[in-house]
Amino acid sequence: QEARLGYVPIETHPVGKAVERFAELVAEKSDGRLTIDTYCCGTIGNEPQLQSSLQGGFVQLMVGPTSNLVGAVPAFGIFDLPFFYADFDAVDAVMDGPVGDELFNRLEEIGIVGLAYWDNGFRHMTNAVRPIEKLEDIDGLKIRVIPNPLFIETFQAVGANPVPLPYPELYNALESGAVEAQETPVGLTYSDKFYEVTDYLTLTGHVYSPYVLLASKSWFDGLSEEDRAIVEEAAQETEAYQRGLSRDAADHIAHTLLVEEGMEVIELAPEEQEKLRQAVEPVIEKFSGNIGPDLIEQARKDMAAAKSE
Amino acid sequence: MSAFVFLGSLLGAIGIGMPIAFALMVCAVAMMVSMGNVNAQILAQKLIDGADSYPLMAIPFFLLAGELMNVGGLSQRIVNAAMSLFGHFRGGLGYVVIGTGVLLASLSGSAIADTATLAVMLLPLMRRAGYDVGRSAGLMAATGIIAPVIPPSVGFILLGVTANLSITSLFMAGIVPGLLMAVMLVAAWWWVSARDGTEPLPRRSGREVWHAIRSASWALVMPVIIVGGLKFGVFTPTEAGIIAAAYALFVSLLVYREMGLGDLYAAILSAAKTTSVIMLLVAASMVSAWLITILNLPGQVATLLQPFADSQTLLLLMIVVVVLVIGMVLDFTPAILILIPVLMPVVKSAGIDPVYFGVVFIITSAIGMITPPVGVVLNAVCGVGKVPMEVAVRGLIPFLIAEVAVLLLLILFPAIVTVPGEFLAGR
Amino acid sequence: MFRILEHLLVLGMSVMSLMVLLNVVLRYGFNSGIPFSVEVSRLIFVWVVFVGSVVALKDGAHLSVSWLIDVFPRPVRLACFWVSHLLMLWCCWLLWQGSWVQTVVNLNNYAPISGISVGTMYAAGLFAAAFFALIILRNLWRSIRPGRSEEIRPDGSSLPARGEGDDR
Ligand code: NA
Ligand code: NA
Repeated sequence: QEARLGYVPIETHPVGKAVERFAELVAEKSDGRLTIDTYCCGTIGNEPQLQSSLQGGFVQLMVGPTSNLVGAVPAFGIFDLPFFYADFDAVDAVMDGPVGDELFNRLEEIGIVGLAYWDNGFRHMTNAVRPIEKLEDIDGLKIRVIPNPLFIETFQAVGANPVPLPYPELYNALESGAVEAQETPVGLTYSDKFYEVTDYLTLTGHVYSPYVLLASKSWFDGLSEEDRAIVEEAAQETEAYQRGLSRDAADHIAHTLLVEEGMEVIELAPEEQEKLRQAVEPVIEKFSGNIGPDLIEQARKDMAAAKSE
Repeated sequence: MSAFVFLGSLLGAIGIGMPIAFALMVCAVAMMVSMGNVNAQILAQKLIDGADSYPLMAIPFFLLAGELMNVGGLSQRIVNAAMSLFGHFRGGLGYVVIGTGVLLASLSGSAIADTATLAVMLLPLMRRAGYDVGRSAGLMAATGIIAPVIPPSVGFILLGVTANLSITSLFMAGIVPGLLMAVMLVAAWWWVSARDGTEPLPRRSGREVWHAIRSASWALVMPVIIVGGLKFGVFTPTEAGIIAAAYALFVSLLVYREMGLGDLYAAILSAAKTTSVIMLLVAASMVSAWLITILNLPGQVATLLQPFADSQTLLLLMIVVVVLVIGMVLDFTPAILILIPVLMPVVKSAGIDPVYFGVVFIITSAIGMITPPVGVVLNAVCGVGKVPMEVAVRGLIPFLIAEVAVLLLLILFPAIVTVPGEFLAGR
Repeated sequence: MFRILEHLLVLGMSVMSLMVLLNVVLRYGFNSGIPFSVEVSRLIFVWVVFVGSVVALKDGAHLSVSWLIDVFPRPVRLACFWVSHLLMLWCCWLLWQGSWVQTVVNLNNYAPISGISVGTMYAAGLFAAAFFALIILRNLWRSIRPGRSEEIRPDGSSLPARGEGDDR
């Protein structure tokens, strides 16, 4: 039986490598009964299209960031909340805990099965104007954001001037000075060459939106019980591999590769981090209604438990 | 095997006279049948997603700008300016055609509209001044196809979106090759008209020349805005399109004051209809392109082209010959939409710069618009100018040779495209 | 009927153009913008394309190749006409079915800024499938209607085969 898996990053991106591993594991465990054809680089659709194809059942698997799911399942907005996650331990506690499970449960209503949470790294700001070391440095900066109200209001709250733009227009906009700053995980800053058009990287880590490995429910339910188990097992085994790969890569990119490209890399002092956190508190308050206060409460509990361990 | 299903169903459906957009859908359905699973959602979703594109919104905007230029009197003033500059040389009207053509090309993305403008305004003059009608018509057709090579260009926009390339880079890379086409046409015209005994127009006075140029200056500023704005990244190609349209509207309504609101309605409607025809083709080609990817057709074509893969020049020559032959019978837009998804992966894996290939490809398929039996630009000249097709084709030959020579130059010396292109795009 | 569609086309083009223009002016002139401009103008664009395609099919303005078919005698042309139109009708049926599912699937999927249902975009496919089919059926009927069939062109239009659609 053949299945198609689509994703947008390139083959050498941690997502691409993990997809290869996943496909190998599935083939191995099923003795070649199940094969997965992988399509990188958006060749069979961008992320919203892939999601729609998955619901229609003619693409069987995909990997994409959670922010695209918010339109259909608003609770996924929990991963777009600014300064909500202190570190990877906090993130893992939420993704691997009851919140992660509950979010995947809600996907079933729209015909999608969630298989695994993968890493996309924390999002950091880069800009062409000045090194950002404190909250006031952000003031008035024209920053491109994901066209999504949560991102727009977050950056308004810290004093920036957010410009919602489609991602493919970002490089040009930075080059021309139409916007002065951008915020993506360092992997994208490196692979899409934003270091050519911005000079300062501040490790704000303001948002963490994971990648998710998703399956079409109609396809998944049509598999034998044994095969379903194989797919789930392979997804679980790839999870740890992908997160490790992605997080090591992000570290290397931020502290070595981008520095070699001439970027100035700035760590935020803890007290400045705290000031930012306080500035966006009202935004979290405002959007928690959409996401569900219970979920947010649960996430806070899980993060606290992980910290005390 | 799937290559034959693709080609057979597509050519069969086009051959029995089906509109090409529907033929592309039928071809996609045929590929699904060959896979043993016809899925209506693939057709619907890819078709509708194919139309849902912000970069492609540049197409209606540039088409609207072109419509407004013609009804608003901008084109007329460009012809006057070119006339006052080149009219008094031996064979002068030929140079007027080429000069006007280049200027129109830098304002509009449409070869047919430009050629029709040339034929309406200049062919009667050339006829009266005793120029050979076939040769004049041939020159106009050959000049008209510079439009998609010099920005703005609907062809480059389509190619950029289909092949996922920067439209700005393509635009910038097209400028020098487009001018080179004009230079070669000037040379060819000089050569053929040296033996003509036509009467040059009287030389205009300095005052008249100055007046004509000043009156056209509103139109001449437009390419500066478009190319400058793109080069310095002030706006994206989509925004450049709407700014060009707004500027043309401003000049037509408030400066030249030759256009009424009724003309505006007609211009918008015409741009919308033309856009729809192009975009349904785009959308349908996205359906077949999706199945091409699933069936790995580019891989099969790469295997076919394997014998030529060692030499980039040979591979390019091979592809250009194939595209020229296909261009004889297939229109410009479908040629881009059908061939690029198959050829681009092959070209990339051979290490050829995709932007450079894009320019070569656009010139090659633009030449298809003037080669019989199906040549829409040739049809436009003959239709507007009431010239028999075989007369125009005979007159066209020297200019066709000149433009094929340009292609050969670009294949032998890729730097002609890449060096100025990269400089202009600021890379 | 088609007059109304043409008015809608002009309206759609105008709104879409004004939104994009206004957004550019606001961004460079006043450092602000209309956040939903890109989303909404794209949705209008999709509808303009499909409404315009329906009008173009009625006018016979879609690009087609007729030189090959024109060399054959009338019965062959008529046969090709029927084969091509039945295949087109099949495509319309598939487009209808697929658009239906995609519209339903995306009905409760909302665009992030404007909050408009993504299903409204896929509904353009339902519109196009229905109107394409009506025009195709009309063309088929005209081809067998006694006395009038000689007007029919191989691409299915009853008007001259080439219109503004040749432009690029
Ligand atoms: Na042009
Ligand atoms: Na041709």
